[in-house]
Amino acid sequence: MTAHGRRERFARFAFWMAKRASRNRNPVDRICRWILDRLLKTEFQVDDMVVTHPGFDAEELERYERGKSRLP
Amino acid sequence: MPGPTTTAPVEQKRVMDPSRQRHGLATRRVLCASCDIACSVVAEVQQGRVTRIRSSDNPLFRDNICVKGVMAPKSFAHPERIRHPLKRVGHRGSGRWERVSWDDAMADIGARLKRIIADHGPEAWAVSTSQWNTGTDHGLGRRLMNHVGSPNWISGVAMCAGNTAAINRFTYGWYPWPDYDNTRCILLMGHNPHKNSWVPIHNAIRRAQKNGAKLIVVDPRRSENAEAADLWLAPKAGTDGALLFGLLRVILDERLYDQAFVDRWTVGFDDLVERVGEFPLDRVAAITGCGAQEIAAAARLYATHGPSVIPWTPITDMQRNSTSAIRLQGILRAICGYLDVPGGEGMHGFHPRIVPESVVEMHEALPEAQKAKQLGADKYPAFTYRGQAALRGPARRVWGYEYPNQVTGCFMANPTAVFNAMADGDPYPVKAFFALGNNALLSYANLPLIQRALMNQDLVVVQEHMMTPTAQLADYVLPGDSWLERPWMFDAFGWISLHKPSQQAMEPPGECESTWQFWKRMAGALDMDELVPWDNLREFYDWRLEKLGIDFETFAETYDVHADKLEFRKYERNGFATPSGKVELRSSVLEDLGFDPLPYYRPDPPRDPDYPLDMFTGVREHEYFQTGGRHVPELRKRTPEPCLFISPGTAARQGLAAGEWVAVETANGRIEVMVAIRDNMPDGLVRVPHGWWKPEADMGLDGNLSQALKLSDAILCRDDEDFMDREQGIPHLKGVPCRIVPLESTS
Repeated sequence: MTAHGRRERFARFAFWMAKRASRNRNPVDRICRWILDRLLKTEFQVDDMVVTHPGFDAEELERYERGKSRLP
Repeated sequence: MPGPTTTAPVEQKRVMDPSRQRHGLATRRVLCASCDIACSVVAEVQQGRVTRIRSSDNPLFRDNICVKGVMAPKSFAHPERIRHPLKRVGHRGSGRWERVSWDDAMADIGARLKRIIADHGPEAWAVSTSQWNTGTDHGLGRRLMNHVGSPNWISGVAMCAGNTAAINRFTYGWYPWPDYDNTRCILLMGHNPHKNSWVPIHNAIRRAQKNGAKLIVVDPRRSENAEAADLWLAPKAGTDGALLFGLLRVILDERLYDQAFVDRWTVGFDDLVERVGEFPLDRVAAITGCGAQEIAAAARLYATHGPSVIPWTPITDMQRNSTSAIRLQGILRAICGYLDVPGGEGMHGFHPRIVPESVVEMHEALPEAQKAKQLGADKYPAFTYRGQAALRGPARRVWGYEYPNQVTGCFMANPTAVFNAMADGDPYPVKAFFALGNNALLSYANLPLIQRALMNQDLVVVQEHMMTPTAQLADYVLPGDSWLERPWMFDAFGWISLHKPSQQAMEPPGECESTWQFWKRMAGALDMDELVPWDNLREFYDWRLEKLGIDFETFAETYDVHADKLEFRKYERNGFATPSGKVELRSSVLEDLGFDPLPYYRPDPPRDPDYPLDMFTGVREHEYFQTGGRHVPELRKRTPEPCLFISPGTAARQGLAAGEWVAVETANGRIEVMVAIRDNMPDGLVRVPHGWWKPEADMGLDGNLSQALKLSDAILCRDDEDFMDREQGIPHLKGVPCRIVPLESTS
């Protein structure tokens, strides 16, 4: 098999795995996700706010929403 | 140091706080629409309200999240969010409104639009949208306009990806998407995906590098990606076309291209060689300021370390030589043999069993006589119906559809031509303007023209979240829903054949409705109910998914992303979707339109000594996308003011200090900004921030439209001949002559 053929076969297999991992419904899907989970582990840059933000409090958001408005 | 940072350490270790995991909450899988890349994220729901956005559980989408997404629950809960339809009660721009019902608003809008169409013809109605903001437009707007008879649809994609798609089609009939997962070399031209912008692409590039791919960055600034690059070229802003000629020169001279592909699949190779011969490296070096050796090294790396990719870049989209530069990128991809191969540039086509938005749009319903009236088509036809007409047959042959509207950018009117028609009635009057999820006043070049255009309308309708400067000039402002408050199916703008569902996570507040629902109401108001036969958005999605044998709710439960099978080198079956069926290095379409069929380089006009510096704009701060986001307190705290980035050398020569307020002036106008000194900026080049207005400031014309008339970069952007691309008529935003004036010395 040519180098190009090998690359095509690998790309198709990786794409198939990604689709199965994305579906995550049956044991084969879950194995694909498990494998990708390990293969794709990369320490990406992430903003501190993304890392540390705890989320909002529902009541706090509601109070904020009901704050003073200039619109009718 | 005032202003946001532009560089950050590439390596940054994270410490995840275990207490961030909140168990037992309802979650929904959603797609973030805080920008246009549609990150897959998770919404946590408490008491019927989304309280947190976090990274997806799917490893494919891990860490595809930024500060804008995290802050979305707060953004959409803003007290000033538009929650009910509003009707203007004072004069246009008075800032006075009354609440009305949806039914009353739509009845009046329909009656007034009918009157305008009766008086001036259907082409007197123009629409400007940003599909990433409206999300659920899904081509319904075009569908309705096509049946009414108006070709005058515009969007910011005219200078951002949509135009790239249209120009790519001239060369090989489709706009490809890079295969980051398998590539071995990435040539990044000015675009700078980072941890808060186009995060999936930022992560994909980092992952590719980790897997051994080389990164070449072309950017006048020492950007985050430049710092992470194997090779960084820093050309003079706006000279991408010349630099690309230099790369081609080396590849042709050293025969680094794929001879077999060129022989079998291209036309015009000899003409190309002759044209590239006009660009010896010393000439390219003189134009770009890059060293000949650097250019040669980049060319060799791109051509020999492949398969390589040239990802989309908005930078090339916004230049005087945009059409030629985009074509040159395409030519590089093609002659090096990187089209539709693993690790190269994927040409997916449409999903065979999901109805594409291009079909929803029904362009075939618009009569040819009305297509011919599309504004700008006579002078700047590239992305208009006229410019793309020769590709209709080839597209049907190869991709199955006559009007593949990739990135929604292949059948647009020219924005400047539309605003001229709105302002002056030339060549015919446009009297009704709808802006949906689109702050049009600040989103195109030459704000003063757009303001005059809006003031000369009989009907302006806006759908928005916030009272933007454009909304402040409307007759009606209608409340739009958000990506947390609706189901959604993202089709990657027809760029790649991937479909991602988004589940509705909460109810929309007040009377907020989707853009899809707006168009359904609009069809009713124009007595065209039959054009939107579906009762709601879910039914519409069910129809699009019917051939998959699955309804939308099941689809959304089942998949994070759905795709058909992956195929390569599909051109071996049906050829390329061009008139010749081959890659047209010499474009027959451009030639038939009366343009140079080969790429060329148009130098800058003579320098006006009154404007000794060059500015570029279009770059976003980490916290904001386009003109949105300034209303979110947490984000505003990080970037409170619009900042002008200049180098220490330029600051010293101009006698400027960090934190000082100055005016930036071009031949088109003047804005005020705060000085921020950055050592990653080259001398002589200044960066003006994009899209500024202050939502907290006074509204209406008396308040300078929430300071937009003082702060918006669109005031500076020129749309005269010297600063427009010839084929597309889009503005040159990368290297506009300007000057900096201390505020105390101006009147």
